[in-house]
Amino acid sequence: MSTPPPADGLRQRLFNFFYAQEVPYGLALVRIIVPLVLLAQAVPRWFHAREFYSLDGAPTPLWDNYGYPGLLPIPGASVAIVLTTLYLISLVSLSLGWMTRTSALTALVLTAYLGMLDTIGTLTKYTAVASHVLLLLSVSPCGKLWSVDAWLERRVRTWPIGLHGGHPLAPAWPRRLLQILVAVMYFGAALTKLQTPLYFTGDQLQYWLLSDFQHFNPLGEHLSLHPPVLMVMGIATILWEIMFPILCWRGWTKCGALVFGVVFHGMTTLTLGLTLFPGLCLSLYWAFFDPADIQGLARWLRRKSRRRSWALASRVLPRWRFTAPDWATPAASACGLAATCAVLTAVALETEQRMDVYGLARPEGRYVLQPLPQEQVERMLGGMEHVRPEDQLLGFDVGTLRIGGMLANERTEFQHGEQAIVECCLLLPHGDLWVEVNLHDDLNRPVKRSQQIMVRENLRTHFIYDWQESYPAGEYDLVLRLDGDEVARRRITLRSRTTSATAAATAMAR
Amino acid sequence: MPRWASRLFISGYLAALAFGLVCHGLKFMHDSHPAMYFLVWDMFCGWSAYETRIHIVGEGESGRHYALAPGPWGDFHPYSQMHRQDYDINVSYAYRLAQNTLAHTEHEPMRRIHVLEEAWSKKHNLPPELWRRKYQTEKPAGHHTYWHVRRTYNGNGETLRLVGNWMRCQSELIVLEDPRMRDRARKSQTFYASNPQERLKNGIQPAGFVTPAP
Repeated sequence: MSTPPPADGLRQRLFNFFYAQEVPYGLALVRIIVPLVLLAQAVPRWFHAREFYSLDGAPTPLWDNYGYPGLLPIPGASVAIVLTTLYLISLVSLSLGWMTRTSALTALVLTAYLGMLDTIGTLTKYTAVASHVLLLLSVSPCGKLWSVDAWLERRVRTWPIGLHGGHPLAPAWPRRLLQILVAVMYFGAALTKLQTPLYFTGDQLQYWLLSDFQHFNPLGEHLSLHPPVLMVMGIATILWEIMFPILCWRGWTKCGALVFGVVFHGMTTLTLGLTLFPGLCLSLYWAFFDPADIQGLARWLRRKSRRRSWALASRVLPRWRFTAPDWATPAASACGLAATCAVLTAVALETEQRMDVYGLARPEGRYVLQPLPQEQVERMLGGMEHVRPEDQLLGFDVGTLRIGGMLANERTEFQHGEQAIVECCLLLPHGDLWVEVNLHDDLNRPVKRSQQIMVRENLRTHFIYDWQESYPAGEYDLVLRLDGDEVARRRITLRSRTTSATAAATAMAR
Repeated sequence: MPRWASRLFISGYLAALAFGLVCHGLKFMHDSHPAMYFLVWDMFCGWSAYETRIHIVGEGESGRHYALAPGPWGDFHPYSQMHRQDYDINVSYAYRLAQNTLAHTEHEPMRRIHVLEEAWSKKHNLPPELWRRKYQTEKPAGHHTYWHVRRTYNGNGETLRLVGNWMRCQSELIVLEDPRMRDRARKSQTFYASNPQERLKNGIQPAGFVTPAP
């Protein structure tokens, strides 16, 4: 091992940053968890391997979209099934730390290749993140502990128990590169948001929350009704993403940045319906835990488990020591993995053949296409139509408070002397519109008309109503018209100041 | 790993990350090669106010129409309840999806294959109780959807028609409401250019309007 450079200052600090010797706890945890997250995505796709990744199906290669047709070969059906099976095996073996480096390299190649073969059903940005992580794991000592490889190695090589818990040391640079990857990824995401129109107003986020593009997101639908909250959340997110590379290195700022990250990714699950991306990102957070952090966490967990009688298992299990038998050498391990791959791929090929994905061997023969109903076809091919005004309208609300140019509260009752803000919010694209918000009394007679031109770039427009005493107390309707068509109306109640004061006094007297 | 090799790896890896970040920030070469997908972190791609779905419909020689995606053997929902073809937002792979269904089913010869976009306002995705809270009315039983033919192929897979997505066409409709613009468009002639991103296909697309004809 070479000695560190003698020069002090930045070079020395850089050297220490990348080459400090440490027990690779964080890397081992990333190695265990990340493949499990990827398995959740990979297992359902195995059943469609023929359709998604082979010439006997409809692969959608990424390189076609970038203008490089034929950049990589598209496999035949059998090869595709073998590759997807090997992919699953490599993820499991990587998580177990069985032939760790080979497993990581196999998983890396197959994650990227299979992802690129199916752009529309497999490839997402978490495929890109996972490829980076697997690349870094394949050059790292992540299999040096808590792995089958480490268990086998212990037969021939032991590390002093008193020192570092009996675990080997390794340079920190793979963990540092993982940290840098996460920081760069967040910074890149912030750059995208900075380049996205309507992000800072919360409108983009609102459209995403209303989308069914990802999984079930009931909290998102609730939040979409509160655009000012979305604006604040959007600004907080972008600030955190930009600051993350600065905050995430040490001390309480690291703790704060990671806690915010956990909350942020948790919210993307609850509000946007994302599942795998948060799982992958959060599993990478283990790379930010220094060995001292992990040891402290382990001590805390041990202390907690000692206090609880039900935690017997956690006290007993770590004491179990499995001794590797004599035949369990690294060579035998490699042969075992190769044999497992051979057997499982053979089983997979046979199983897939029997599944008869396209139903070609059904007793009744191939599937027969059924014609669509004629009226449905006429509707589908009927030509482009203008968007109806009621579909252009996203919101028509009345309140008294504006934040960031948006209505922040809703009111249905006013009293003389107050001011109402009426907000009309439309969806893009819309043309230049003549917008009217008219006040109708309880007999539906117009008592006041207000008009504005809303140009095509604008999403919302506001009308101000001063409730002067010239309006008698009672029920009113605010009626929205777009280019002359009534689109929505809101019922409000106007009370006189004396009526309100009397009501308040009566309530207090009671 | 030897120290020199690790230094080389660290330098190369950091340079690749920095390159991706700069290309992304400057929008320079960010889509120049498939490898850039793995270096550009554009996770928030922007969302429109309308929900869209992709439909692939084959027109048989008898004049009857058939849904060609998903195939009749069953469907896969990659990330939610949406079909796989719905994530093909540029409809680049629609013909391949149609071909796969045609290759594995019994059917009459196809004269044309249409790729359609169905769109509706995302406010209709609100559940009834939130709709009531937001609009103070009961949610209508159904909602109006808008249809748009984005691409048409003949039976041999040659592109007969290729237009922009529904949102873009709606924006163009709005612009063409301007009488001056409509007049200019009527006097103009369209020209077509081969799509540079589809080098080996006969993908043609309307590229715009040239100056008024003499």
